[in-house]
Amino acid sequence: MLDILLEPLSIMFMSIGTIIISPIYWFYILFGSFIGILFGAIPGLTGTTAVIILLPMTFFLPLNLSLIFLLSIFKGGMFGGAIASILLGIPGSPGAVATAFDGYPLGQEGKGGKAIKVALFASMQGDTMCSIFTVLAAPFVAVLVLYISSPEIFLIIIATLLFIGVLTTPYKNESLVSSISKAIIAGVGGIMVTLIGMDPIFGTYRFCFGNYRLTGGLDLIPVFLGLFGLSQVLTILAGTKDVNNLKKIHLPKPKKPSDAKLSLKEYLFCQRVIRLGSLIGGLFGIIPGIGCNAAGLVSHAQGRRIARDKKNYGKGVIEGVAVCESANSAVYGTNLLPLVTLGIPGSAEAAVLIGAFLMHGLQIGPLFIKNEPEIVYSMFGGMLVINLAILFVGIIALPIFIKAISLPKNILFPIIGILIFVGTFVSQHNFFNFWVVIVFGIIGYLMDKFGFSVPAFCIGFVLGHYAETGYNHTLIITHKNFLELFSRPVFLVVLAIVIMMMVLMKGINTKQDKLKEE
Amino acid sequence: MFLGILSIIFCIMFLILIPYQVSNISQKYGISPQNFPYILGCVVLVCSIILVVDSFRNKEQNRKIKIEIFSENEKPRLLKYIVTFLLLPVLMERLGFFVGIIIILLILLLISGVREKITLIITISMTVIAIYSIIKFAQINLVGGILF
Repeated sequence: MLDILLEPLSIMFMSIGTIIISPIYWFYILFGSFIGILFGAIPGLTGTTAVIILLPMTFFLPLNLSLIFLLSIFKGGMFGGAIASILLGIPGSPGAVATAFDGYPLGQEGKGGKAIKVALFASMQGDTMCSIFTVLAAPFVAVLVLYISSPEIFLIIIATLLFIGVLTTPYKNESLVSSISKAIIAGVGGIMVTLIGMDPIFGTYRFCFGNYRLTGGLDLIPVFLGLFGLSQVLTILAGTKDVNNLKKIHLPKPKKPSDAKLSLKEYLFCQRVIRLGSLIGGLFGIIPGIGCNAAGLVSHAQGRRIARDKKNYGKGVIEGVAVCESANSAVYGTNLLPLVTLGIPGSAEAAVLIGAFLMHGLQIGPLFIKNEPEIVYSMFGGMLVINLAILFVGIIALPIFIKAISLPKNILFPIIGILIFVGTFVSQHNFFNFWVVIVFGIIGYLMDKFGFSVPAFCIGFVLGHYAETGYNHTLIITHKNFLELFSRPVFLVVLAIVIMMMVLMKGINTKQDKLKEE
Repeated sequence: MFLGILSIIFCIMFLILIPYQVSNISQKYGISPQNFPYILGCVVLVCSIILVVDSFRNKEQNRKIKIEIFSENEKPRLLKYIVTFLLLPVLMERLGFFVGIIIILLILLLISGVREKITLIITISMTVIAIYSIIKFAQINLVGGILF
């Protein structure tokens, strides 16, 4: 059993050593953490947006460096979301919704500095705990996934899209049935887009409409830049009546010096809820589709049971901030497990990371961890170093991030809009992709307006070819008789796990809705 | 309901397009390249029908709660931004990379309500310098034009 762990751990420790002694790695990790926190802190922007914009620029970097850079932006973005939640009551990222419950009242009392520091330490502790779990679990999961083949992969892809559907919160006054239908339409819509270009099995061209530029299919980067980047820019610029309304923010000042500081005693006081948050977040991260929003909300509700200050919980205690932040960051730690072992992105962020792998010519799938152990385990090693870097950047540059919240949006977002197009050009050197960005920017904007899940669309887009290949292989294996699948023990085991998860998710969804209503 | 009907129309168009856009010649093991697209079309069609039926069922409730999807003047604002972004590739191809960026950024800033000349100059020049640094750092060849 130890043999399985020996090689991965040796690779990981070697990579940690390489990173620590290499100034170039430090530069990119610190820069990535800074950019991530900055984007996370500004409402309307997320770490994902930063990764999407910077993804094309990483084309020129070595793969390891580029992955560690992107991961540091993601992780930075996750923590950055808490800054806006605490100081403005507006979640900077979807995962920081629950952070505002206790964080905002603390910020209004002038204890914003203390709350942000709790969020930072809890976030890093949760992430580190779950990253270590991922490192230890990945080699074993990688051995298990070798037993699964196309039908099981196809089942997991379908399940992932259904998970997103089940977990979708009803849009405005819509019923749950409509919301699930919309999420499925979005996911399948993403798969439909991958039909453009060459058929992966038959080698024929389809949906090219006589345009030779479409024969290679649509590139992932311009599609993602449109869906996550341009749509966000359009939402803020066109959707806000007064684009610059956040310019006049008043941030309460600390009443006494200790309000801005976090003592060791206070941090140890939160340990119980941090461990709970990490556990919930870690579990939620493994299951594709749940995401950090649900992890934050559920952990906040569960945290009340074991919090030391039950009376004020939810009204402005540091335990409420710590539990949410440890949970939403822990999601990122284990979210990589289905990605590297199965090739299934559990979230939109993981889907973007697949973009980085594809950009460097790597194919994600069940054999990925077996074929590319150096890349996977050095990425895991990098994750641990990144957490330290975020702690450092978070403390040193906190005043800059607080100032960044008040940046005028009517100046910031046009610049981001231009950077999106520059990123498109940098990665592909052609103007055709500009049109792709614009089209998908409009699609993303409208999807968001009408309650269709953009992450589901992205995951569908990333998994499209796998789904098609899995479907066709399943037809071949079963001689077009799907009932034959039930004679496969592995398929039955995967099916049972999927059904169990679906039931679990239904429970989570109900709980999440109740919490939101409260 | 509008969304459901729109999705149904899209699905029907998609299903009609399949025989014209996906060749059925090369079949392997009795499986056609059209199978998967048809399956996808049918899944979306079923979900769209569910959307329509569900909105019929909740018609009364929906009538009571009127929800504004677009805010005041959002559509004209959106149109302005989209047209501006559409101009970017055209200007870049004809006038050059940086000229295109400068003109479009200026238009975007003006549409967004930035009026102070000094803010405009500083924002545009800083953005151009940042982009130029990225381009140089990444050693990218730009398209030819009047400038660059």
